[in-house]
Amino acid sequence: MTEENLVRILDGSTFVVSDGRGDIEATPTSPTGFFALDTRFLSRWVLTINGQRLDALSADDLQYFETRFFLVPGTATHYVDAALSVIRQRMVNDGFDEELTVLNHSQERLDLDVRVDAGSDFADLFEVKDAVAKKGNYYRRIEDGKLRLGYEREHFRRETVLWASEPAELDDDGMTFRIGIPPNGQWHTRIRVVAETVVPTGHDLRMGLQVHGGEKRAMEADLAEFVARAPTISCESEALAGTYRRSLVDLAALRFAPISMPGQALPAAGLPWFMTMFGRDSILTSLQALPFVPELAATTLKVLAMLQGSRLDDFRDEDPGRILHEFRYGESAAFEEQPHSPYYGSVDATPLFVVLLDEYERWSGDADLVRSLESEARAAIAWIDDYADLVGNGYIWYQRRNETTGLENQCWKDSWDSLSYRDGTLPGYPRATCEVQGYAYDAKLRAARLARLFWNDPGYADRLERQAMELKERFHEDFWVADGEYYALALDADGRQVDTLTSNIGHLLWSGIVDERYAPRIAEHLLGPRLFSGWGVRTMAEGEVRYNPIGYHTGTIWPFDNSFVAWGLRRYGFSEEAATIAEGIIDAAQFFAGRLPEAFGGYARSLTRYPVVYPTACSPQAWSTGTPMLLLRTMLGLEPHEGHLAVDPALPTGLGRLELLDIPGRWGHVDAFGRGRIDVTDRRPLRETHGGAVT
Amino acid sequence: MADSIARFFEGLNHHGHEARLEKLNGTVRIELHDNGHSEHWLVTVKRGEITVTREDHVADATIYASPELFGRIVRGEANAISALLRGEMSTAGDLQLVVRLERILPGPANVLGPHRLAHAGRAAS
Repeated sequence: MTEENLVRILDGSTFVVSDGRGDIEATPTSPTGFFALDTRFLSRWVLTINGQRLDALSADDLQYFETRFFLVPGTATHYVDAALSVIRQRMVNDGFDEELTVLNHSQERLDLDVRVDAGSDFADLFEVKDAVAKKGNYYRRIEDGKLRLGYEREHFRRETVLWASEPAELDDDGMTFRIGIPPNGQWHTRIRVVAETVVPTGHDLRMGLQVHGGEKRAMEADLAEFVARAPTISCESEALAGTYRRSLVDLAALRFAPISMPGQALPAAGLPWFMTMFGRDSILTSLQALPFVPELAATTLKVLAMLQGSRLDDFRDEDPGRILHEFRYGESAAFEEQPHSPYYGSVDATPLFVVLLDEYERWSGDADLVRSLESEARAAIAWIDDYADLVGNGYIWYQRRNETTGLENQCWKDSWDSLSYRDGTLPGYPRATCEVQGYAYDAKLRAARLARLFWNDPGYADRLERQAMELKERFHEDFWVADGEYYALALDADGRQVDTLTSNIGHLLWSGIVDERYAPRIAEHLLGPRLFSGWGVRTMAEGEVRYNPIGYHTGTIWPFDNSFVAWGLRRYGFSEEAATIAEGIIDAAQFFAGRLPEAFGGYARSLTRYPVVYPTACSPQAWSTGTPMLLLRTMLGLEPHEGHLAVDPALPTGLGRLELLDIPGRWGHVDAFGRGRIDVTDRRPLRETHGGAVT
Repeated sequence: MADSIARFFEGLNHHGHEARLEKLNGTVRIELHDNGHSEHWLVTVKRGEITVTREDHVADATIYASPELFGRIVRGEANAISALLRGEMSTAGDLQLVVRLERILPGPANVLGPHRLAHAGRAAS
């Protein structure tokens, strides 16, 4: 079964991935299962009737946490004439509930054995694709009418507990219902599946993990309220309205309540591999969603501040003041086979933490949070100046200290070949990527504003502003690629430019580190034929040695990347260019039913006519989900200004009229209106000619 | 082992003000069990001021561990969060208090720290 046919339902870090009939038969290549806390709690879950597998007539996604399968016995034929059918309805709620209804369509009584096979490999998420041999022991117990599947390694214990509302015969491999259904009658049971993390003292690790109550009505009410609190959209473009609504619901689904902060939610990075907190992903998604769901930013800031690095730890790449990269709760983190407890190997999360704190205050007016996080923000700035400056020349560098399980690339383009010189060779370590220097510049200016307004330290503010100005000048001298007229992707330890043309230059516009005089050249590159495909900006420019339209960070198009690039273009006054990118990405979203993928192929739009699906790991993915929101903000020109919300629309004509109502913030709720006046179609044929020529 | 634990709590009691715990008010009871024998400490944090006593009463959060494990944690030989995930240590009550307190525990001994290049000086400021 291909990944696209899998059915996924989720709630925070708990999710079920099954095939189209609701069955789970995990293999290394088919990562199905019931997952919680980075552990697979069921790897087998198969429904049979009289020993026969069932076939799906249809599967309906009811909510992000609920799905329903209509099933009949036997394999698919063009002609179905079943004497019975099954409705299998499943809902994730701190575990999951499975409601089975068997309908007898015949005139005779049916005597049936309804069987559910259950089994678990308790694989850590990091082992799912490798089928690693487990170091602990499995056990199975039947007690009090419940089947308990367990795994134990020293004190580490994970259990899956199953029971049914109707009488069932339990055995080590599942449960059987021996039932008789009268003519035209039906039979019904509810099976409850719960993941437990029992420790010897009897306390569960996950006390209060949920964002809301586990009852179905509570979950429905919570979702309805989440959607109702966000601004409503009214527009002529169904593509835009559809992708916005889809994103809002997906963002609700991706909310994740960290163990240490029950009842509050931040965005997890993505299903299925990244349903946990990531510094970078949680911050960038919170930034994208700020005008829509501002409370995510507050929780992200509080949680990341609480777990801010406080000491030197080489295994975790932790330094004082550093913001975490990734926190995991599975076996590999518990036994320190992986460093995620938490792992700190990211260089962008720390400056971005300060950026989010300031941007959050500008929207929300939440001065209390800014005051309460003063020491954490100062520690983050101190980290930039000290621990991150491995070369001693005023830049943020990275080189992992954990050389076995740490991350080699600690920027968002974290694959092994994402950074290369024009000749295709890879630089050594340490490395200083350009966009991170931009984030540091922005962080210092924003911290200066906070220091002046809230921390009562104008001297610190002056110092930070002076440092930022010096950084901006130095950055241009060191990173400007003279013969290409753009900024290098990175510097190597010798100060040599890693000189490929990449989308990273767009982030520099967002951060404001680009000198106004050079900004037009950057905009030209971003919308030029080498970077712009017609759908969006490629991660790496066509023509580079390592360019590959389906290379993860060497040619694909990342919607989230484009949302920040567009924001940056608007910041420098390139409204048309920003609108062009926004329209391309929104057009692409239509091909994915409104749900933007993590990345799609970098092929020219004129060549393929549709965005080529990248065989991606994650969907929905948080910062792709946040993309339509940031594009809306960018196109409407929403900007907090002296306590009110400024609106300065610059919309492509294709979108027609657009209204965004009830935008929350320090102003209460405000509406924004715009009408498409920018004709981007006259830009496109030019690009398509160029794009199409390179084949 | 018992010495390092006693020294740790004594040091904590004389730690004085801890800026990283400024936003924190609460009590954490540490209960160490070893073959039927148990010892306990009560750490009180009031706006960053830390005091440690041997008082025996209920706290906002409780940490349960063996003296062997806790000794390794306070010597920087074991990581408390991993121990929690492993079930070797467990907690009850307000987990946020435990996580915040964990941040001021010592890190591993013999760390290399950042791989600074030989010629690396301080950044110009």
